[in-house]
Formats: sequence, C-alpha cells, structure tokens
Amino acid sequence: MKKKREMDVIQRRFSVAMYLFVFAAFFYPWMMVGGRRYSLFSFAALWRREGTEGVLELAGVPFDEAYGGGFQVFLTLFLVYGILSVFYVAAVLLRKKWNINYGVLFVCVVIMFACREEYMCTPGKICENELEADLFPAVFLMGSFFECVGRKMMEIWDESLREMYAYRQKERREKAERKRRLAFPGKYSKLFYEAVCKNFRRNLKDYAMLFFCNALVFLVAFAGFGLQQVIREGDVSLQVGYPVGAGKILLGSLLELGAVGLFMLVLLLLYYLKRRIPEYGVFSTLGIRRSTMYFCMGTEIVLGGGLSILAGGVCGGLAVEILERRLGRGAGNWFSPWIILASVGVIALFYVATFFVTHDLFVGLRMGSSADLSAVGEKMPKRFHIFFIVGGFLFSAGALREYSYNANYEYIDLVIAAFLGVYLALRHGIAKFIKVQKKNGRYLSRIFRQHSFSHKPKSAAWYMLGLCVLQSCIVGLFSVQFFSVFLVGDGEGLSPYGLVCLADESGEDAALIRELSEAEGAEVSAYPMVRVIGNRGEQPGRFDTAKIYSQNIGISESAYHELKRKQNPGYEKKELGFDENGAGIYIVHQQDKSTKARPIDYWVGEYYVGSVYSYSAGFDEWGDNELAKPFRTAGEETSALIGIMCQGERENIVVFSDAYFEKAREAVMKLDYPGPTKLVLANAGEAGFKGAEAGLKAFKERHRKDEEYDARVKSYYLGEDAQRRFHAELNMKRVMAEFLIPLFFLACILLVKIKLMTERRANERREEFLSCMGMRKKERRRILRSEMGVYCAVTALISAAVGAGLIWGAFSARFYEAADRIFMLKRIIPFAICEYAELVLIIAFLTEREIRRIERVV
Amino acid sequence: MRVLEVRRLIRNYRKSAVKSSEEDVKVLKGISFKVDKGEFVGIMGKSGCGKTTLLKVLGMIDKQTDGTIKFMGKDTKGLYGDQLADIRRKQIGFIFQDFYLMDSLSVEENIMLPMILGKEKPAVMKKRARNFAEKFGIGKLLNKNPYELSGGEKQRVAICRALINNPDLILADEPTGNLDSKSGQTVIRALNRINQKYKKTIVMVTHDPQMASHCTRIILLKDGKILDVLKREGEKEEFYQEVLGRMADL
Repeated sequence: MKKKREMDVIQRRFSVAMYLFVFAAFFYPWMMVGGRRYSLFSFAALWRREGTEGVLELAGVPFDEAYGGGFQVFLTLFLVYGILSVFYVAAVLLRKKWNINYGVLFVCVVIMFACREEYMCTPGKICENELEADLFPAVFLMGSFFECVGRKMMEIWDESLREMYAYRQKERREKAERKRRLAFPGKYSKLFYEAVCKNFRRNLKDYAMLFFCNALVFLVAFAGFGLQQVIREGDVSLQVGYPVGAGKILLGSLLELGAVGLFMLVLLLLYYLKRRIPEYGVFSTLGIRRSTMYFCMGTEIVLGGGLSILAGGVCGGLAVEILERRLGRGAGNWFSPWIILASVGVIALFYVATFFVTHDLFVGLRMGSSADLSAVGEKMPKRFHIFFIVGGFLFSAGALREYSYNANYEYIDLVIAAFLGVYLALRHGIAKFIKVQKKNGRYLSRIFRQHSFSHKPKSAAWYMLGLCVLQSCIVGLFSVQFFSVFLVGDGEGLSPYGLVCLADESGEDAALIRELSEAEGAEVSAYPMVRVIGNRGEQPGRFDTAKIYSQNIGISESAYHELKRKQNPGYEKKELGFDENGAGIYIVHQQDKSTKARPIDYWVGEYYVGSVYSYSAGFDEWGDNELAKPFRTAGEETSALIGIMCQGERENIVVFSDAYFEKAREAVMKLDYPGPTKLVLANAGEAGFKGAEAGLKAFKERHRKDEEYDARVKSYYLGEDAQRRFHAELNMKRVMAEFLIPLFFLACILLVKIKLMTERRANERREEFLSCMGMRKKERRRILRSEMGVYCAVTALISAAVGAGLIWGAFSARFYEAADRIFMLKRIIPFAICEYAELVLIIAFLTEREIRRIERVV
Repeated sequence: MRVLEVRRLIRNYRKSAVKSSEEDVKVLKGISFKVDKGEFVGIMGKSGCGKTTLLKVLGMIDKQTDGTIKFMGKDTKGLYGDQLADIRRKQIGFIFQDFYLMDSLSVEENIMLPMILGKEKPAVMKKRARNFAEKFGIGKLLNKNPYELSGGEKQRVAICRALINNPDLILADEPTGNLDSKSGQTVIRALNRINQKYKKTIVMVTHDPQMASHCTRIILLKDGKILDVLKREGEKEEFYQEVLGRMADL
C-alpha cells in the first residue's frame, strides 16, 4: 500500500514536471516575423492588433485570405491544447484519475498534421525561420507523448517485473522437467542412427529435388557475381549498380532470376517440410533428445547445402566461362574468394527469406497438423462469376494497354496487375465452369477428370497462374529481349557522328569548332539548341527541390528536318504534329531498337525548357512564362538522330516548332546560366579526334558546370565510346536472355513436377479406390492425363494471350515500324510454338511416368 | 441360386518376382466353400489367417494363385483387367473397415459413385441415391462431405454405395472395426436389413463375435485353411455363445 502511494506521488511529480515544460514552451518565441521573434501568445496579440493583412505585410508575403483562416485554426487548436493541459494538471494535483492527457495528446497530433499540411496556411508558412516555425509543435507533442508513456510505464512497471519473474521461473521449471523426462543415459546406439539414415534414404529423391533447386539458386548467384567481375574492368557504365548500361541489364536479369529462385525454393521447402516434419514428429513423440533431433536435421541441411553449393559453384563457374566467351571478352581471371563469400551470403539471405515465407505458409495452412487436411476441399467462389471473369479480363487487358504506352513500359506493377486479372479470371472461370457442368448434368460423368478443379480450385488456380506467369515471361518478355538484339544487327548508323559537342556562344567554343574543321579536317555542323529537362513533376515548394531526371537536347523543327536529310538524302519532310500555334514537342528517343523503351521522365514525362540550375531554383524566375509549363507531346519516334549516347534515358532530342524554339531560346539566353546553346556535330576521317584531345580537354574544363549535376551527362560525346558501350550492352542482353529462357523453362517443368509429387499420395489412394470400385484401367489413366491436358491447354492459351499482349506492348512502346514487327514476329512465333511443343511433350512424359508410378500401388 | 462357389483356393505371395519357390508366403491353402443367394456369411479368424486376402480374391481385387471361383455360376479364372472391373462395378458391392469414401466428393456423389462409373443418367442416379440415403437415415447429409460425418454415418454412406447398383454380392471387410459399439450396432442392423429385406447375399469378415452372431453361417479360418463352419440354427444369443467358444479355441 505504501509502495503504491509512493508510486502515485512519483507519477504526479512526473506529470507536473512534464507539463511545466510544455507550459514553458508556450512562452518561448518560436516564430520569427519581420525580423522579430514571437511566442504563441505574442503572435496571437500581433494578429489581433495588426490583422492578417498587417502580419503578412510584416512577413513580406503577398496578401492571401486563406492565411486568416489558417491562423485562426492554428491558434484555436493551441488554445484547446492549453486549456486541456491546464485541466489535466489540475486533475493530477487534485489526485483525480482522469485520463485527459490522451485528449491533450490527440489535439497535439492534430496540430502537428495541420502544420505539415502543404495547403494549410499556418504561421509557419510565413515565418523567416520556416523550419523551426513549422516543427515547433513537435516539442509540445513530445512533452505530451513522453508524459503519457512515462506514466503508463510506471503503472505497469511493477506488474511487468512480477510477470517476467514468474515467467522465467515457469520456463526454468519446464526446462528442468523436460530434461528429467527425456534424460537418456549414454549415447544413442548405432541402430538408432541406422534407423534415422534409413528414414532419410527413403526421402532421398525429394531431398535431391530441394537441393537441386538450391544448387540452381547458388549457380545464378555465383554466375551473377562472376559476370560482374568479368565486366568490372573498363567503363563505369558497364558495372553492376550503375543506372544504365550492361551492368544494369545484368542486375535486372539477376533480379528476375532471383524472384523465380525464391518462388521455387519456397514451393519445394513447403513440400519437403510437409513430408519430413511428421517423420521427425514421430521421433519427437518417442522421446528423442531435442539436441539429437536438431543434430540430425542440421546434418541433413548442412550436408545437402554443402553439396549443392559445390555443385552450383562448379556449374556457375562453367557458366561464367561460357558467358565470358559469349560476351567476346576471352578467358580472364575473374575468380576470387569474394565471389564465393558473396554467393554464400546471397543464398543465406534467400534461405532466411524462404524460411520466413515458408514458416508462415506452413503454420497458416496447418501443414504440420496431424489431421489430413488434404481431404478438406477449398472454397469455391460462389457468386458474381461473370463479373469477375469479365472484370479480370478487362483488368488484364487494361494493364497491358497501359503497358504499351512508352511512359509505362517496363513498369512491373502493370505486369503484376495483368497477372492479377488473369488470376481473377482463372479463379472464377473454374467456379463458373464447374457450376455450368453441374447445371447441364455433365458434371457427374466428368467428375474424376475435373476432380482437382472442383475439390482444390484455389490450388488449381495458383498452379495455373504460376505456369502462365513463367510461360508468358518466356514468350512475351525474354523472346523480345533476345530477338530484338538481332533486329539491331551490328549497330551501323547508331553513332552517325564521331563527336557531339554541347557548346555555348563563347569565343573559346567557337575557336574549338574552327580548330576541328580546319586542323582536323573534320566535317562540322552546328545547330542552335536549348537544354530541355525532364522532372518527376513535383512542384518545387519551399522544402522540396524538383528532382530532375534527365537533360535533353532541344532543337528546332528545321534543324530536325536537316539532320534527318543528312541521315537519309531521300527523306521527305513530314508533319510533326504541332498545333496551329506551333505548340507541343516532338520527341526522338535516342536508343537502339533492342533497348527497353524508357521515356525521358520515367513517370509522368513532363519536359521543361531551361538548365538544371535555373530549374532547381524554382519557377519564380520564369513567372507565368508558358515555357515553364509542361509541353504537350505531339509525336515520338525511336532513332539515332545524332547518336545514341545514353540509351534513351538522357540526351534525347526534343523538337520544337521554329516559332516556339525562338521563344525558348530567347528566354533561355536571359537566364543567369543558360547551359549549352549550340549543338556541334563533327565527323573526322580515319584518325578520329586524337589530335583535338587537348582542345576537348580544355572544352570539358570550361563546361565543368554542365557535368556537375549528373555524371552521365557530358559536355561532349565521342562516337567510338558510345559504340563500345553499346556493343557490350547488346552482348549482355543476348547472353542474359539465353540464360533466362532455359531457366524459366526449367522452372515451368519443376512446377509441374512439384504439383505431381505433392498430389501423388492422394492420386495413389484414388487409383486404388477406383480400381476397387470397378473403374476401367483406361478410364483411370485418362483422369490424370485429362487433368494435365487441361492445365497445359489453359495455361498455354492464357500465356499466349498475355505474351501476345506483352509483345504488342513492346512493339508499341518501342515505336517499331511494320518491317521491324514482321522481322520480330517471324522469329518469335516459331520460337513460341517450339517452346509450347517442348513443354507439352515434357509434361506428357512426366504425366505418363506419374501414371505408371501410381498404377504400381494397385 | 449359388452366388459363389470356391474350390481349392490357393493364394501365395511370391518372394521372387521371377518364379515361384518354396519360400513364397502361402496365405490361402486350398479353401473350398459355397455361398447361396440370400445368405449372410461371416468369415472369422485370428489376425494373419488370410481373412482379408480371401475377401480380396472373392471381390476380384486380387487374383488367386490356384483353384477356382465361380461367381454367379461363371468361372472368373479366365477373366482379366476390365472384365473383372466390370463385374466389380456391376455385381459386387464393397464395404470397408476404413469406409473408403472419397473425401473430395459429397455424400451424394459418393453414394452414386458405382453408377457414375457405369455412366448412368444423372436423374436416375440422384433418385436412387436419395432413396437409399433416406432408408438408412442419412438423407439430410447428402450435401455434406465425408470428413464432416461421424464414423457410423460414414459407414452407412458406404452401405448405400454398396447397394446402389443392386449387386448380387456384398463384401464387407470388418465394417464395424473402426466404430464404437453404438455405431457398430446401427451398421449391423443396416446389414441385417439388407440381407433380410433386400435379400442380398453378404460375406462379412469380422473379429467381433457379437457382430458375427448376426450371420447365418460362419467360416472359421486358421492358417489359411477352413477350421470349421458354424451354422446358426437357434436363437442369436445361443449362436453368439457358440461363436465365442469356438473363437477361444482359435
């Protein structure tokens, strides 16, 4: 009792102390307006005295009525907060147990949100010390929060300590009891370990399957790190982690492989645990020491893990050697212990992730339960089938349509959305099919052939979706990646100029141009340009700086036509789609045809005229200038107008109508730093630009500021550098597609195999039962054949449709012309037919083998 | 009319897959008996004496090594595969100890199963299944799944399934083995009803003398041979005592 009283006193003192701190904060001058600091009270007095207009004038902010309301809400909330705080302190002093402190905390949270809201005109928005003025409510929030938490902790402290002590005692007792119960003098006999080994041998095939997948994942990790070492030397843009170039292609492919690897491991581990846990459960029930059981399980895993790492490492090494030659780099010394360590790290990470997912699934699905849950049917959706089937179809079609736009291409969420639609359609399609069958009386005659769809519709839908995803990726994604490399050929014409310089109007730059044409004998041409930047579309507010994603080259319509004519003397001037006033822009994505289309601005595709420096300073400089507003895109194309320098991510060509270009150039020239304004294109003879190295170095030094914002944007580009990088990328694309296609195909087969293995026991029981009931052998065989046939046919149809959508999306987003499309389709269609035929043959073979295996039980 | 005629029935399990030898396990060693229409025959014996093997051979799930079985006057020795499957489906009904119901099908579908395999019309199947289910008190369970039923209910579903094709012979392998005494009584009453009302011939393997006392004749097996045949002539209770006495001798 005494202790409780003491605790009450401490709690009271703590609350009062915390709120004294809060009250003190009311008097602290947090806000600075017109060079003077104001507390909440003095600010309220100032507002009453001067009115909103006066306060805004003092702060040097143009009058806006919204501030009046904003100040009122802000000060009223603080008034409520203050009154509640006083009430609370009074209650505490009067020893009343009223939980007003929670209400105080709530009001404080509301104030905090109000201050952080962009459109709420709170005093923080007009103060000179804007950060402090915006964030000072956090001081009140912390005071109230710590008071609540501290008080609560004091209340439960003693109780928690008691509970913890009791729990520890209980645990100790249980441990001692377990130790006594399972006490086993001496060691287990040899016979015991023989029994464990025999049990292990019985499951050797399943075990081998799990570690085959493990080896496969290790192979991928090892090959990935090995390839990274292979391409490490040389250009930075080839390295993994660099946002463009061959390294990025490698990283992207490895992520795709990693996702499939994780999927397969989870599936296999689930299957394996389902088989092994009950067997170890028997040992556990019989009283095996826990340490011995862990030893047995650990040995299994370590042994298998070690073997799979060894196998994966050897195969991965071979793969790197082969891929290295395919990349045209010859044999090199890529191996280092770091690769093994990194690969083991990756596989360990994979296992941690896999165990988390598997554990959740295992517990969630009650797979370790002794009850035979396989008997329990899965729920079939009951209503709105047509709605969901049509909805799923439309959803997929919509996602693929969005995907086909240049701005959304490669947007993985859309691919996932397309498959989500497929899943919806599959889930309800199965339900509708069974319903229709039941209605027209065919259900009973086909009851066994449709058994897995009526009994386990959810699993069936998931398996089908898995097969659809894998097949669609092979047919619709990797095939495009692979064959588009051939569409590019040897890349002739992708770097039409040996040197592209982004110069300005200075005399030094003019001298360099002269030097190039006179001393080097180069053919030089120059065009006026402006910088066009692409940003994410965020309005640059007081705390936000606009994120600039790309810097591009803006030229006039006439320059565009001239450059086109230079490329192709037979070029006929075409309309670029500007409106009658000449508004809009025409974009030339400077990338090769095998590159995944990527808009200048990844998300919204908005373009603004001006250098990065003028832009990041905000729009104020531009005022209401129409050039500061995003442009309408009048048309797009993919080509190498002046040369592929950043594969469509930067240095694309933005074409303005002549009238607009003049306006833009005029406005840009008025800026403090207009950036490059002259596009210089030069072609030299055999010797290249070696003689101009000193001049170019000086040029680079002069234009250092142009390169500061983004390391990928240069002041000049050499054609031969671009060619070298471009060839490395092409090789990497081809090699990774060659690697991904067979691995995804293998994943398809593994998925079918796992399905058959998981359902084997149920199929054996069914076989035995139906044989006993007098079903003919031929009919019994037809059950599994027909089930797998439906899986094959449905998934092939859906994946072909989704694949076709993805191919169409790629064609549209990459602006392929009719000839390109025909070139690609001539290769993709036979490839897809062969892929499906192979898969059907392999599934048929696996099914027949499974049928024979099942028949053995009869 | 004679339903079954078994002569010198031998069933050996080979140790070698290639040829027979002296080491082969001899389960049935020359058994002969006859079963007439409407009889309720029990087969009893200790574990491992060959009761279930005999039932499997009689049900044509397993093939005999030697000897003849005439089913409805027709020798089954020359029949294989689909011909045997047809007989099993059309003329024999099975009732098993562990019910052998398909958990993935509803009660109604389980009952209709032999008719489904025989490709009957759905309307006919449904009508008959409902009819039998009502008679055996499981009419309200038709839309449920087997895992939702009690043991006694499951066995009654199995009985309905055994009857639905109007078979000439019903083979029951310890139908009450997995049930408590109350459910066992319900099942045995149902079997009695089949035998008496529908005049069906039943061959039942059992361990339980109480259940066996409902039979009209009991074949006692020992080490793969017929030890004795007991005929019920008096009251059920007397017969039970007789069976109990003979079982003690086994």
